[in-house]
Amino acid sequence: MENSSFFSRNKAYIYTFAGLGLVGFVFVEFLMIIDWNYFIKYKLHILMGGSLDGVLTPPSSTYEAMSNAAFGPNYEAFSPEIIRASNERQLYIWWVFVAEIALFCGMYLFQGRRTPVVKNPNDEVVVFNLFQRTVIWLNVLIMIALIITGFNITWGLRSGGGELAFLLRGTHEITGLIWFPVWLLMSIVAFKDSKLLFKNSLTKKIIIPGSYKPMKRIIYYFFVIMGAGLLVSGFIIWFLHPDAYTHAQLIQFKRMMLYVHFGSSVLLMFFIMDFVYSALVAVKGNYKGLLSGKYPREHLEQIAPDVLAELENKKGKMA
Amino acid sequence: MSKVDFSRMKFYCDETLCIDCNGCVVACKEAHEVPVGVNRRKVVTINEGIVGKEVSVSMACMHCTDAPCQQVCPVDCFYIRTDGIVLHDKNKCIGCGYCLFACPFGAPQFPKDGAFGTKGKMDKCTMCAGGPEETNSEKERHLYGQNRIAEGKVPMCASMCSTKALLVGDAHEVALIKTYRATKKGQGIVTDSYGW
Amino acid sequence: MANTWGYGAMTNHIGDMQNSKAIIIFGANPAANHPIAMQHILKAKEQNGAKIIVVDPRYSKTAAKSDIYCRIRTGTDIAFMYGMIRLILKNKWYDQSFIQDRVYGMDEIFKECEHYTPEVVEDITGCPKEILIQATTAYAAADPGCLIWNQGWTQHTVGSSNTRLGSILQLTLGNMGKAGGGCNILRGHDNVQGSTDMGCLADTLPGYYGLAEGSWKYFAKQWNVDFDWLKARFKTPDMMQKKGFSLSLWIHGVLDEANNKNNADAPLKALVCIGNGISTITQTHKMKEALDKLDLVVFIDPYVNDAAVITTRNDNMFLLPAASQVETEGTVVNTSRCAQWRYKVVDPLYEARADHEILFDFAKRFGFYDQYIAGMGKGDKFVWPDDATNEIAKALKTIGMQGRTAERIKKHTTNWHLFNDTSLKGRGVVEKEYYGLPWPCWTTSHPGSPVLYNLSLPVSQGGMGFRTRFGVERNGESLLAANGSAPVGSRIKGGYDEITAKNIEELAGITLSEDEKKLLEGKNWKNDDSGLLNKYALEAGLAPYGNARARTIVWEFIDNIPKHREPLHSFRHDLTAKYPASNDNPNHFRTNVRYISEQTKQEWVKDYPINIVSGRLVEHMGTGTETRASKYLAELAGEMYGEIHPKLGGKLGINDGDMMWVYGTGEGKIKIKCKYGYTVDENSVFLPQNFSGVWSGESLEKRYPGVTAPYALGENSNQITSYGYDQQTSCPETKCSLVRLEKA
Repeated sequence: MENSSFFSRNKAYIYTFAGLGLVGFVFVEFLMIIDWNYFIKYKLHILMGGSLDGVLTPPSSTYEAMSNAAFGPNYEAFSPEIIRASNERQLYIWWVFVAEIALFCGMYLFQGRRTPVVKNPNDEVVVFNLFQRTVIWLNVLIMIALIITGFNITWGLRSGGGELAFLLRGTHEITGLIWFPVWLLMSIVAFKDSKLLFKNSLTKKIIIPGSYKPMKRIIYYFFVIMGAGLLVSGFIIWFLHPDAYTHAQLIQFKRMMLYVHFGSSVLLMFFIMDFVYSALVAVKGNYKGLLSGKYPREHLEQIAPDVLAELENKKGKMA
Repeated sequence: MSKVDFSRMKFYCDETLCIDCNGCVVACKEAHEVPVGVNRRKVVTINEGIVGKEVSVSMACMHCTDAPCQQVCPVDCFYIRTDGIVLHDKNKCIGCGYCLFACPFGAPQFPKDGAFGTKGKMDKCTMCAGGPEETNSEKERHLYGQNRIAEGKVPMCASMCSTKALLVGDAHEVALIKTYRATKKGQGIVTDSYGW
Repeated sequence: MANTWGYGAMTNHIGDMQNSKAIIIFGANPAANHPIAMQHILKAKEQNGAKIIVVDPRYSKTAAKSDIYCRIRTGTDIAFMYGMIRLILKNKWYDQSFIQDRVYGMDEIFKECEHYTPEVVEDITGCPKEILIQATTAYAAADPGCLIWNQGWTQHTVGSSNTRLGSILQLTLGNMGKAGGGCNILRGHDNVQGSTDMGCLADTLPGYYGLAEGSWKYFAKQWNVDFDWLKARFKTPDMMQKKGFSLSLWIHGVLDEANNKNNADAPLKALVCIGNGISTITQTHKMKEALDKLDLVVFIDPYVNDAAVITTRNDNMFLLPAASQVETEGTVVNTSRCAQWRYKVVDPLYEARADHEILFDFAKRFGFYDQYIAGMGKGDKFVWPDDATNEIAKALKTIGMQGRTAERIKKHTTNWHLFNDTSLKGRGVVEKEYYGLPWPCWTTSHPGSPVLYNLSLPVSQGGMGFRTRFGVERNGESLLAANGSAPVGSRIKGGYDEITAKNIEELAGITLSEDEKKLLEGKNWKNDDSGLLNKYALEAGLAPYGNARARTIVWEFIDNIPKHREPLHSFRHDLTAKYPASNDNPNHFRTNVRYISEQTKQEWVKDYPINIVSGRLVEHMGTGTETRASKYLAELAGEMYGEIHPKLGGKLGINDGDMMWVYGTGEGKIKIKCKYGYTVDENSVFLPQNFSGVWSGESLEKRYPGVTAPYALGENSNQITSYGYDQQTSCPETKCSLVRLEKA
């Protein structure tokens, strides 16, 4: 019998949240200059049915009223942070990525790769059907496209701007739109534990067999949430197009959305790396199955026995 | 040896004189053939109809000394002239919109006529000083509009202001005019009729 | 105003407002309609410490810059002004010596004003009495103060009384004839003064000469045509001398057969409309009917006239493209009587032709071209427009146009940088002349008269007293100015009659030679072609038109002294009994016009409980025919709307941005967007009058030929304005209409 303490069962959650918490704390406390108080109050204000314009308290003077009507309220709350964030993103974010990659390299060094021993490579089980594989790869390709075009904007200094960069920026917006259905489907996968979904005949087709390990669950939930954040904030940034006269009412909201977009993208990048690591680096042999849809039985026995059990159950049911 | 003192070009709009006639808005659009939907300059009126409190002011790019747009642009397409006018290069601009987020005044404008409504290149008030192309060339005029500063002319909006509420020029000069007007209040007409 | 002191034009000039210590603005919105003039008003406010007082039913952009704002109900200006006069009387703020020397009949005014206590004024106008008192105190204390008005006053059934009482108010305070004072009517178009000077009115010949035989004979001589030939062009001699149909009433000449008897037993059959927005007169649906019924309709205009798409006639309607102002050359006269030359910039594009080319072409085809051009005296070899300008200068003596030759006007325009905008004085080559030679400019060496009725200047420098237009005495009292009241340098130190051949010797202290006597026989200053009368008069320091008192009593008018009368469709029906409209006029500009019968027909306010406040948007001009075709202006103000107070919107169940139907008292209706705003009170709706192209909810865009439709179309607000015309001038009562609002 395996020793199962609270800690060992929830290791993934604890490590993830502790790590995020630490990094987050460092950032929030020392690096970010956003007005968190306003940030939270603004969101509440919107949810409580208030207006989008960001004026949380009525102006106390004609000057302030003029300022709100002409420029939008509380410039100091978000804009300095956006300026800092977009400048520092350009210069330092790749260091962050280097650090994250280093972290995963370190983990690889310590934990190595789990390599299942496969003696009968021809004894294969179908795990992913065509539809699932299409969606998975479409997701991969679109996300790569989004990452490239998105960071094309961030690293504009390196690209130097110009027509190609302009086109890539435009592509980012349209690709984001295309990603929405794919994200939706992947979200269904992520929440497959929920009864509503796996009892639904429509969604059964996409659900991937197997039960979740905590790390995977965390990763998927973050994908969903950050993805949602990116999509919603992206749409709003794109579609909400204030002209000179509606600027003051909408700009504060757009600024907040931009901030959400930046934040979501950074967090998402981390979890992409985490996923790539845990699915493809930490385990050898997962890659092939994503293409063909089939895995050798022994591979599944050793790496993902829950998947095998579920598939056999299904088979059993169908038989 | 005397220190060279560069002028700093600034706009100033006196809200006690601005009557929301939109003359500046139309003058700018006409002069630079700005597309419909983009307003380099706008007039904001607050407390409309409230007795004693209604105020109007005309705003465009303020050509900030520490221009946030220039700080935030990912492709660094802005350049600030020695005289303080903030200009940008439309050929570099990728239309990401960061400058609009960073600008306290909403000066950057984007034509929304791309495919799927995607943003075009950023356009904003140039204080009638054109862009990086060759001065007064057809290319410059096509992209940015007139370059009046190079010809020694007053920017279009201020030159057309009905009540001369909008002033533009070296910050010291403009401040001097304002000071002069304030000190001469109520003392009788001291200046020539048009302008102050 | 002409009936008060002789000339009916803005008495001072625009730059002169900088000299005021108080500017009171009734029924005008210079911030929206004369933005450049607003600069002078604001300069007066800032540099000269002037108090700006705005009296308006709507808190307009002008009111936003005012020091004191008085909200009054539309059509109650007379009550307000009498309230002011009463306070002035009680507090002895009136200018005693001015009244004694230069005004006739002030006692009647002082009697009438007794009734208008601040409480009564508050009841009638709705303006709190404290504000009335505050405004009057501030205005009376200022010296000089100028009074501005425009169509907010003239477009009432009592418009003529409004303007008279405004003039009387200025007389009471002694604000006339001085820099910074005066009655400054900021007229609505840049050349409306010029067009009325040229006689584009139904009741005058050019230069405001009347329609009597004497005037026609005079003009026959000026035009070098035979008087009998001219007379024969009319069906009957009395048709020649009759007032014509006015702009607001012509529709009744087409539609109402009862008016045929005023029109030589025939209805109007054809209409030629040259550059006029006829669709902005009240009762547009009646105009549509009239246009549909006519035999022939011609529009001469650079743009498609809005009326052309409102009418649904299928035949005999012609649109002739006219050239715009930059494609032709000529003079314009601004609201302060100054002339300006306009040079041609480009030749007319496409098929457009300059107006005069079109008219000459008509004259040729009708067979009177030779007579038409005879006035210029050069036969076929005339130079347009110089010779025409000189013909005008020569002919229009009543307003002293003699000095405004083409050469002098061109010189001013070419050298406009040499003139001071506040005083209009020139320097250098145009030294001693006033910009634009504001009329009266009695001789070709006269500098023009920027401030009318100014006694502190000699006549040869632009000074003058009031005009002796109404006779020299009335009921035993002299109408001439008192002794001691005369322009500087005047030989006669008091009042005198207008200059004629008979009295020139005596008044000017000269003896005419025999030749001169022959030349001048039977002549007076208005028809003396030799110019001798003016010459001698000026030499003696006399104004050719005499020196008289201004009269507060106009005995030819329906209301001898201005009286408050409720509008025909009054919001306060209870007051119509006490202040009723005047009697119906069966032959007002050849039309039977209803007054009291319309007012008492029904209690209008029961079915139409909302008051209209009408006005203009700064982005548009007039009907908006030209400005709505400008893409940037259409972008800024492209949609018709009705602005109501949020409380009214709440009561009616109409939200900000909803569409609503507006029903007028005359069976018209329009569908417009609702806009919430605080500029009007809770019983009113503000309607801009600059839109056209939508007819009761239906867009007329398809009726525009080709691609001529303007960018912005909107409901024409005159579909729902009420019936009513000024009792003297027939100006339509667009300012006092009642409507009903309903959510669409």
